[in-house]
Amino acid sequence: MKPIEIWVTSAGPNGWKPVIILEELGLIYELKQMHWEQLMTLEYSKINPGGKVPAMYDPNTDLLLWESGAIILYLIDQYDTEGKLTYNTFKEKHLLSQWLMFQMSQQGPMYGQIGWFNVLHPEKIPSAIERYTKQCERILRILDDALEGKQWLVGDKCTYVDLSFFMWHIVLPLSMLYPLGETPLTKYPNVLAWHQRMAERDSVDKTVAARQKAMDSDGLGKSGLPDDFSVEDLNMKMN
Amino acid sequence: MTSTLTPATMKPLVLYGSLLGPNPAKVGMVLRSLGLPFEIKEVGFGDVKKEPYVSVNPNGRLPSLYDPNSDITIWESGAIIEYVIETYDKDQKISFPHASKEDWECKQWLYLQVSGQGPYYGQAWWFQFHHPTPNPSALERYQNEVKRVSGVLNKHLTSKKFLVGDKLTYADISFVTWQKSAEKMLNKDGYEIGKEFENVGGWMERLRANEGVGSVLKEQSEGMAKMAEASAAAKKE
Repeated sequence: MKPIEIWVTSAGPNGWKPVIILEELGLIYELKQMHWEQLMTLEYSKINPGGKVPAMYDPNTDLLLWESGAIILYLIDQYDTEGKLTYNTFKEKHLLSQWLMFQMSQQGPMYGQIGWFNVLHPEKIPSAIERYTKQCERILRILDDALEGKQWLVGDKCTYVDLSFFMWHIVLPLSMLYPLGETPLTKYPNVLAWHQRMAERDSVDKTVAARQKAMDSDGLGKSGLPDDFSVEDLNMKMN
Repeated sequence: MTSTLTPATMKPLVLYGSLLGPNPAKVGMVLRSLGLPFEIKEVGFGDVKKEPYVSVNPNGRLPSLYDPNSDITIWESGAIIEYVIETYDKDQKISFPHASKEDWECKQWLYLQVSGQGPYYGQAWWFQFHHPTPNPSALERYQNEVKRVSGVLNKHLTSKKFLVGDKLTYADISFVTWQKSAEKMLNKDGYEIGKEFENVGGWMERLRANEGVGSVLKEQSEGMAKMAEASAAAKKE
């Protein structure tokens, strides 16, 4: 098998979501670490016209794909032949799709907005911060209720869907300005237990360590931001 | 189980949500494009986050879908569309064969719609029409994102009629309602988003001409006109 290529940035959580799946399935892959400024170039737009990570190229099937959810589904469909991380039964299959869509359309974007308005936006807007804080809490509450009396979101085993939520829960404490070592998940005991259950898996442990190593190589440390970071600088570069 | 069902023999699907809302309408367009029978169950804004609806969808949002032919309830418009296509578009009228390259590309674009178009255009809509206090920099952030995503679509549609392959698929359909919202938000003072992004403008015209898409858009216009009339009449009293 030729290595699957996967484009990531060091800090961005979405790039690492499929890496967990690659590790779970024992697939050979090659990480292509990008700096976020490279994502806006013409060269990268040929890989992903959306200008985001992850993107994936599988030379074994000559398939180029972007959108983390589509990549995850492809890896499961193509390589999870034993159904380790998925179900092929009718209802479970569609419930998996439902929760994956919830992760992509709500967890990712809303957690992303609170991070933006707390850390990266040029001015502090209390009402926007309040709006997105409430959205994050709403999403955590829904997950907490869904996990009541259960170990996993669908069925009785860890699936690709549970794993797809993990990376954003690593980033959320910083996005919500919690002190290092603390997490908003503490208020949602089912979510916290679920998250810790996943953290113990080798695949997750390896991915988190790989991301931290990538962030260290970018000079980002645990905060995900460079030591000399300035909001004004960032906004100038983005415009 | 469902492979022998036809539009004539199946029980109607139940779509929670009004066709005036962009996400239920998105699903409505796919259902109409496949000629599938369905009934609408409206849920008022005041009722979405309460019982009995939260037992249908704990996220408290619209749409949800109940299929009595298989006794399944699904929420998230993207998952509903995937379910409908897999279960009822066996002839690949608006899709491609399972696990083909084009099939993965359709999913890719659908996932961009649910994660990158809907939520961000939705925030622009929020800050333009609903946020309690004016917030120019927040509004600008999301209006820029509307244009950025429109630009991504525009570039991809250069010398292409549709997003994937050479036919209209559920991937194209999924973008229509929010792209229409972008027109509502930004088309004023001589500016038209369909002119700045010409390929998107042409694509939207092609999609509007499709029966499944066009019939839902027509119902939306009629519904909005009725609401405007009712609201004007109420003001007079």
